[in-house]
Amino acid sequence: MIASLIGFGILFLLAFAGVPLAFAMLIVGTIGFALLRGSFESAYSMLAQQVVDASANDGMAVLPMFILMGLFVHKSDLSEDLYKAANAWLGHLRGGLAHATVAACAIFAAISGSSIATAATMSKVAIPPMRRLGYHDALSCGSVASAGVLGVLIPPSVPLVVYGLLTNTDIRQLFIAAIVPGLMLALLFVIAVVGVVTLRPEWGPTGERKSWQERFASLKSVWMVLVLFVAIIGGLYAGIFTATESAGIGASGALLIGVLRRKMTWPTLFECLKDTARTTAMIFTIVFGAFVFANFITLSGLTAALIDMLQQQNMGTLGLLLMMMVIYLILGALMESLSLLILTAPIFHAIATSVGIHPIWFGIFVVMMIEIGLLTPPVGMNVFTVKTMNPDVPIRTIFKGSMPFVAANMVGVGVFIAFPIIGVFLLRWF
Amino acid sequence: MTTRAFGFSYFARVLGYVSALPLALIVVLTFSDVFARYVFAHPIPGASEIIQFAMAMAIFTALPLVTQAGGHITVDLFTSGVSNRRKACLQVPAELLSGVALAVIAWRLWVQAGEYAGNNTATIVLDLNMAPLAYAMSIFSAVSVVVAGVRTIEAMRAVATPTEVPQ
Amino acid sequence: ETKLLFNMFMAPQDPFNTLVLKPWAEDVIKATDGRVKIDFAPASMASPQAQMDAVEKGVFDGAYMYHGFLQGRVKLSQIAHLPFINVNAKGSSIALWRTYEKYFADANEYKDVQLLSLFTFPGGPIYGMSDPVKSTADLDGIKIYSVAGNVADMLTATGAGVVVAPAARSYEIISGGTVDAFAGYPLYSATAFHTAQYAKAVTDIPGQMSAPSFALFVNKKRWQAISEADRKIVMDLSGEAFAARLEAIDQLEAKLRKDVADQGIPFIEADESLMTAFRTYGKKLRGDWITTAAELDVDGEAALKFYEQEAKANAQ
Ligand code: NA
Ligand code: NA
Repeated sequence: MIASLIGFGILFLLAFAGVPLAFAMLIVGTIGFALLRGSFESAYSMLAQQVVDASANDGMAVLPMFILMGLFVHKSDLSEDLYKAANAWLGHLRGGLAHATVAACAIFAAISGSSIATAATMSKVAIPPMRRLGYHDALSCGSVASAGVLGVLIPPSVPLVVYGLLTNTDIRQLFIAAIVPGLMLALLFVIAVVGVVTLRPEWGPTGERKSWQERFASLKSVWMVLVLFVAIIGGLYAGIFTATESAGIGASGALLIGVLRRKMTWPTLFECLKDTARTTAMIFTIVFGAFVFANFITLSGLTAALIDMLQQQNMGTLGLLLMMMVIYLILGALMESLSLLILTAPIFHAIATSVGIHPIWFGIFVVMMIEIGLLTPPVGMNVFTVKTMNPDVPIRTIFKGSMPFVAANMVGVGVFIAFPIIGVFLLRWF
Repeated sequence: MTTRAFGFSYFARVLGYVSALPLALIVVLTFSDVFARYVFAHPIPGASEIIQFAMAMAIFTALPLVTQAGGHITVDLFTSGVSNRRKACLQVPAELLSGVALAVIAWRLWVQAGEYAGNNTATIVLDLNMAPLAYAMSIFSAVSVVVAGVRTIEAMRAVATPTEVPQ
Repeated sequence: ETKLLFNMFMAPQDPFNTLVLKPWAEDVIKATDGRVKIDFAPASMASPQAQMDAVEKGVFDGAYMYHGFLQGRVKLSQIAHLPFINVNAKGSSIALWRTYEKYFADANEYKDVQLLSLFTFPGGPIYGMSDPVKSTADLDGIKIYSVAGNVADMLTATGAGVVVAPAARSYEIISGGTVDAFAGYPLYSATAFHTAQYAKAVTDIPGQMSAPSFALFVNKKRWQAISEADRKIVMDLSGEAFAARLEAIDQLEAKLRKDVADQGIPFIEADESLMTAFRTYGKKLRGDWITTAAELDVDGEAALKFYEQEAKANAQ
């Protein structure tokens, strides 16, 4: 118990001093394990076994496949067409282009598993027209950064895959369970935009109204997204593929879209594969560290002690969730989201399921909390992404513009806790 | 200096191609496996074992590239606002510890590979030997150690000459 | 006092852990007056494939491991996976231990650890997910999930499309309907993996296609740290005594079979065409094992006969 607290202390010290999180976890986990077991040989063997188990693992292939699919979709330049379509339908409302951004992000999210990719790709297409029409930077940049997080809640989702792999939870069920919360969050974002333009009408002027003919014509590229989404998510639901296969099929489908849209050349294809390998290596290095560190935590008795404490204090499920929310808000403000997920998921999952929380529901909860961290200062990866694409906008403005959406996100988590059925009812039909 | 830079960029290009191959193999294999299962009612035997090996190769061939690009995720909250010189001072121990961690991985994978060889550990369906895979993983980790070593030296040089900060 | 840290690669709430392993550990603690203490890690610290390596290296002190993952290291105990020799878990577990003591111990295949016991689970039927699987014709052209090993090989020999994956991942394949049938583990495991609900008909194979077998062992050094007197006490509770505890799993299996039957799921027996196909391939498997045994100076023919006899005799 004491050992684990010292371990966490040293881990954060090293990490905040700039040691890559993966190596900080690996070093602290190995040394801590060795001291508790009284033998370095045992810790080194554990390390090697964890590295081999995590990497030579066919179940893990789902991760690079979804990353690859996201890159193919990104290179296909679909985002522009999606945004035009959303704009044709919603642009004439007050703050209509911001509504269109939320809608386009939600649709893009259905075939992309990453929030940063969603924010980056939407940044390119959604922000210039909003700025041209005189939207306030806080609303234009804030809505893109924020709606980007839909990329990880609406399936497919890389963080949900990572959660599933780390906790041995069925990825298929996680995806199914995330649909309704994802749509709910999109709706809450729309309400947030309404709230902003009601309080500050000058922030979000209206665009021109398009004829019905133009509206339906704009849908011509949306069908590709729809087909791909139905193929992968529908294929998962119907049990035609396993999660790994759906990811592989999704990557093949996205590649086909790229070829059909004449965006995919041999060098681009190679570039996508190489980038995927690099991202995969980066994530897996953290996974190695997390596995080693989690074994040290298991051995230290922290997990068991926390479970005991929870049962004795009788603080109940709600108290536990509130405690975890506070931890996620604090660490989410300070840390990159994927590493926060990898660091906390194995430990929190064990605690949550021990008090009877549904593992699938809990996965969605964790990802919703992780999302908030993408938008909160000082370290908000989605805000950084939009800032990188729009260097002239002050970062404070983007953080400010994200706040209404952070509030919407918190409301979403509250509703999700109050009505847990939102997270599990779709499961009953599959 | 320029020959070294050229040597490394050439080497990085080759590694890039090498790391792309296992992923391409996984895409093709999952696609054909589903196809074979539904069209011929016969999945490809041992496909999952080939994917296991491809996954490990994809990760470890890309590891030196991630390390070279400084691509490992850092929390760098307290290092973002400080002067370049301070940054470089913090970067030296960070790069050094990364190198140490990678070296332990390389060393223990080598030991593990020896044990796989001694125990004839192999996959169940295709009887693929684990030892060569673990040796390959160890070697690519060792290459990453060299890369981390170069980055440590560059960081040390930056401490001495504050204008030159490696990224 | 010696503390032994045991790892469980199956979920902590798995009936094997709660009905067999933990009661055994409590009895060990009691019998040694607490001088040998057994703790269980709250979560598994190594993959199912790495249990023996982890014990050997002291990652934890004790564990059990599936023999299917030990094909390169432990060849003789694979006898339990041969077809048509198993009746139930208790009988097969006792038979495996006695056969080990009588025929296999000299080959010293567990030399890197201290072996405590050997045991098997009940054999697995074939679960049809829509239509019952009764004959070779029923298997022709369908997709069937199986754990790796003899069951998968026998099914492949009948012409079925076999999807092989570790048992822990079977849910993903079965729940979605990727396959039309599944095989390789008892109803008890199907319940633990939540796949039993997808069975619409259960086909029993008399004598079983195979029975999953396991070894229970501790780290050698840690074993030596226990006094000789206590080692004897622990050994008296292990070996055959531990094997006999598998009766708890037989009882559970019987109860689950009754529950499933009460839900109207039919239990049928394989017809002659299927049994002939299995027997033909089974003969080859038995021959292969006997050849391997001969390479290790073991009279495989005699061992097999002895095992079969003991499995039957101790099934009650
Ligand atoms: Na998504
Ligand atoms: Na943040």
